[in-house]
Amino acid sequence: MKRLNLLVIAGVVGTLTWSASAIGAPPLVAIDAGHGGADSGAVGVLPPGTQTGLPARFDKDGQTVLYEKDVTLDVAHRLNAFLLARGVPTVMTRTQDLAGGDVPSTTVTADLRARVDIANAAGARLFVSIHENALASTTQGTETFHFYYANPGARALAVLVHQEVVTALGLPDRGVKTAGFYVLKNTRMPAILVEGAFLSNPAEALLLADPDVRQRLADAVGTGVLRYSAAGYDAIYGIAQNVGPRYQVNAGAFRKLGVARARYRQVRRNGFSAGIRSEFHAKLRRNLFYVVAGKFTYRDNAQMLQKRMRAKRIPANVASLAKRSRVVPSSPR
Amino acid sequence: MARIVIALLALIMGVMALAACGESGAEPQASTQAPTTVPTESPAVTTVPPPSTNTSAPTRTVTLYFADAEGQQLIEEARPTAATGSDLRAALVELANGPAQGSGRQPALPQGSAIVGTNIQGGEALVNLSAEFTQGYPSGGAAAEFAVLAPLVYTATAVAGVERVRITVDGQTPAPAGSQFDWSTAFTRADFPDVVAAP
Repeated sequence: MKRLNLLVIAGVVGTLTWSASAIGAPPLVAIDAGHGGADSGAVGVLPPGTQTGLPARFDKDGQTVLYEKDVTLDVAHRLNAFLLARGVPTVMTRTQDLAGGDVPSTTVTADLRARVDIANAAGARLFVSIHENALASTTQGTETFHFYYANPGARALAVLVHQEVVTALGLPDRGVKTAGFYVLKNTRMPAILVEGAFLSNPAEALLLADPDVRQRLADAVGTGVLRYSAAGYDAIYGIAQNVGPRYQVNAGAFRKLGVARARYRQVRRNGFSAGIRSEFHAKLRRNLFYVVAGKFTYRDNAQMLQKRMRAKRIPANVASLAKRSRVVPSSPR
Repeated sequence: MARIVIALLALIMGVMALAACGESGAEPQASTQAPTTVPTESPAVTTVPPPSTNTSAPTRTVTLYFADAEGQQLIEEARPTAATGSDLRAALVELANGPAQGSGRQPALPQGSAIVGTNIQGGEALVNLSAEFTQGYPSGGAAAEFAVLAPLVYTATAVAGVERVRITVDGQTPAPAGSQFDWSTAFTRADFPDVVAAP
């Protein structure tokens, strides 16, 4: 009854304030400021003496430059303030000019893993990674990434945040895209990576040097997050349980059903579950009988089963389901 | 018609598997990589000799991919080559040579990157590059990483028998500063789905 009242109230007020508490408690949002510490990220060139409100940076020739790591940290802090002010709890993967977890620089993989671990351990329900882009000096625009084979909520979040950022910055729309970035692949919650503008483009670097523009960027990302919450997507997509299987443990694939059955019996005899499935094998261009021992969302779990099977001398491999997955996210395109 | 029969067979087998498979409580799905136990597929190991430096007439055509000028999509290119060694090596040598002059496409491998070794094992291409690859790797930016990594992954996986690509630099797992990818595992096209421009 209380929830119903809240919903009614939210229905009245929601259009004005994007009340995050419209449906359930506001979700914990992990805010990830890209790069940091020894990893400067992309570097933009600014006119000499440009005031950025960020640490002054110069390249080896004494030119005024803008580091991606400084921009992302500043935007992340602004986003953090935006969400906290609206009652949305947050966790930041770094708060200083350091690697993920606010530790002095490590390897790039350890850095990325620390960011993922913080979000997963905190039980964050959304993950937003802030980045700025680079390519040529003429390349321009905003693009937002999610990982195609992760929680479909990621695409919904990416679409909403992207719309807001494109509107706020007014730069060319490079689209919502998908890529297997570490933080998108390994976080359990819907995760996105926002590339606001191009530091390699002097005009866009100058935009990012402006604190007001960075505030607009942060507000836009925050508004997208609130829209996700207000639309009830958190209740629909949740976290890990909606990710679906991504890894399959196979105990062989065979042309002949009889041979597959023999393996199937061997697997079962040793106390493992198993099934036989006929699947098209792209390279052999024919169907094979796969002896499937299990399917898992996380590679670690699949490898654990593989290890247990191999210990009993059963051939087992872990196959990624991602490439041929037919699971198309049902979120807005 | 044949497709329908196959689909029906798959459906029946799927139901069987569902009944039998209790480990995950879900219906098994397609596998994307050839299990090592497929009896018809012996893992071919190819050790490649260094490329010859003489410029002879093209002996074959390799399929390359380069990012377009905006770093948005990959453009496929069929290029005749005289490079020696396996198809994988020949393709990567041409990739390192860069896009055609005046094409407006982005160079893929950082300047000076050399193909130190290539090898295909059980559907996985092992590509060993020189240190210039890490040194010249973009310090940040999804578009910049896309322009380097996606062409490498697509070009290697265009070679027959290659589904995944493991990249090493001087034989070690590289750690290019600023990269957003996991270099300790093999890359697949699923890391950059749906990025090839329509011909």
